[in-house]
Amino acid sequence: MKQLTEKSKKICTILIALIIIAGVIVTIVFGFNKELQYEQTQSIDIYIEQEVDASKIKDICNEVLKRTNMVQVVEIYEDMVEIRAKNITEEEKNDIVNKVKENYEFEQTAENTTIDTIPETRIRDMFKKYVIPFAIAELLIIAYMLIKYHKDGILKTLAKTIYVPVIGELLLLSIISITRIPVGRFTPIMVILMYILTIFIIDKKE
Amino acid sequence: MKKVKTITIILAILLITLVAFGGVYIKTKNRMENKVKDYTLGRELIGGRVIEIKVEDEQSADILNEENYEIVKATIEKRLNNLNAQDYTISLNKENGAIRVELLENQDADNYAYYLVASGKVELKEKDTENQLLDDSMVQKATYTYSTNVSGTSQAYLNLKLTKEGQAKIAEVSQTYAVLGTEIDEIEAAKSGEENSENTETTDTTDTTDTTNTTEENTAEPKKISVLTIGEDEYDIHEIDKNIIKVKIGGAASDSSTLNNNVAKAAELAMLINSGKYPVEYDYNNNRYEYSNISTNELLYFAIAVLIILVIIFVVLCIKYRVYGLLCSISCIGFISLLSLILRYTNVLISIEGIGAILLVIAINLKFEQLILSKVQKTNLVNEAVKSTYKEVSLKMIPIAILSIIFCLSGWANLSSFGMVMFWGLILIAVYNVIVTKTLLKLKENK
Repeated sequence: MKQLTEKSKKICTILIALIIIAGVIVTIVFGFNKELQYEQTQSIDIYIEQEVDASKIKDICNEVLKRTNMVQVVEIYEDMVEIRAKNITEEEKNDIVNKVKENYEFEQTAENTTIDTIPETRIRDMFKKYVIPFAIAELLIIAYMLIKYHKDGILKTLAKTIYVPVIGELLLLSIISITRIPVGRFTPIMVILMYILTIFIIDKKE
Repeated sequence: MKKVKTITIILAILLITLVAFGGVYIKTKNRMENKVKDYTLGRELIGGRVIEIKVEDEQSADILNEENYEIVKATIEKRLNNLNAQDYTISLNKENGAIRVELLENQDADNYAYYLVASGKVELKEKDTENQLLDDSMVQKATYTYSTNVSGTSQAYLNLKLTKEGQAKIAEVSQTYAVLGTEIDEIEAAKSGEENSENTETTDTTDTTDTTNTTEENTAEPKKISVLTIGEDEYDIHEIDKNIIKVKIGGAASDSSTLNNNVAKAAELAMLINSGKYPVEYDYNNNRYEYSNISTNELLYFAIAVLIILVIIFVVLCIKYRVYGLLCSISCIGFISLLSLILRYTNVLISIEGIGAILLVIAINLKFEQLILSKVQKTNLVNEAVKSTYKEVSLKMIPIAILSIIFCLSGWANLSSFGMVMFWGLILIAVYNVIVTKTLLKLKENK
């Protein structure tokens, strides 16, 4: 039984190492796949002059663009929409405006609708505010772990409290990179939960 | 009696659940209105302010480059940090310099928007000729302060600390120019007095020669008037002390609200000067509210999915631990309802991280209850089971408590949301289970 556990531990370690290596390679070659709202996109604004049903516009955009797109209702009266996609051609723009016109009556025409470029948000700009609080929390947790488990050896506890969360986060980021899960609004909570999970693992093992 | 107590607790849980998830509707102005406070949602869930600024036309092509655009972006970030903006993203179009800033919509959003393009240019110039006497390259740093005199009126000041070059320049300028507000007032008062006397001369022909002579003597070497501008506005210099120019912000205030406004204005000006100036002039392109692209339906589907998972867990608890499991499930429903009310009434901002924290708190509470149940099943002693579970879990919660407190204090909305939810959640787990869960289980134990 003990042999089996040792064997499964080894397999687990090799598997984690492989995933991390693959993740690093994928990240170097392709980078992370960002959520559309953080990518450089093209957008069109349509002023519909009446309260708009975003799902209806979304259906039209899906039909015309046939790729990932984003529809956002603009202004408090909800009478304008912003449509974003990686790129929008003149033809697609005209199609969208004309199709929206079939559903709503408004003045704006396809001709006077412009295609704008929305700049990308860099990954470091998205997450740099998380770094310092995380670092402070990690330092305090290390201090707590050292006090709690000082009998097991300070260096051993210190190493464990550092490398287990690091490996955990690397594994998570590698999975995100390999599976092309978009990096964006949901990434920080995944990172936080992974961190808590690794801390639980260390605490349980010790 | 115990049965009555159990039913009373269950009814109380049911009532809290109804209030939390159904609401309390009272007729107000001929329509039914939910009196239970709504959640405060974060930018990703409800939407936020989107401000786009673009490079002003007719500027020298030499300054329109990526390096300068990056400086502007960094300056914007500094300004937002100094203004304590808690949630924003900035993106830059390196080709045309356009900058898009997404902000949390709150009472400060307009203020933040104003400071995205506001100029912090400090200039001392001759009033009549607009001749520049001192510029912001000679200002090292700005701070703000206020003082109160014996009569109880207070005055806010902006202190401009000068560089060595600035000190030399202001000493030189003071020789020929009236710099202080009091000096300028005196000269202007003398001038207007002079004009008045000239007017009198034209009507009174007898004293003409004498009056002219006197006036010439008084205005033999008049100082020229200078004016200090910060951004678009003019300010009075109160005093110059060695390397510091003390600038009056607003008038003398006798009430605290006027003083607070003046001090806030001085603080904002100091922030504007310290954050640096833009090498390229910018102007607004767009300033509007954009709703989130996460729809209410998507949130509803997510809530339904969580509900289904919870129901499955409750069924498993009921099968495994029978009546104890059922009581713990009912207690957990009360816990979730109470948590939802606490989060609303403590004004916790719910972001995606906050939702994650809610799920984590529910999971911790379920694990806590499962530990109690497994111990009760083994020993059939509720008190002992609860005590040993508290002992076991409390030490394990310390790292999470550390993380939550640090996140609460981070000053970043999304992290604070996670921290605050965890903070209230952990407190509720500690208090609720000892009061409600333990009581429910004890009532069953003694039957």
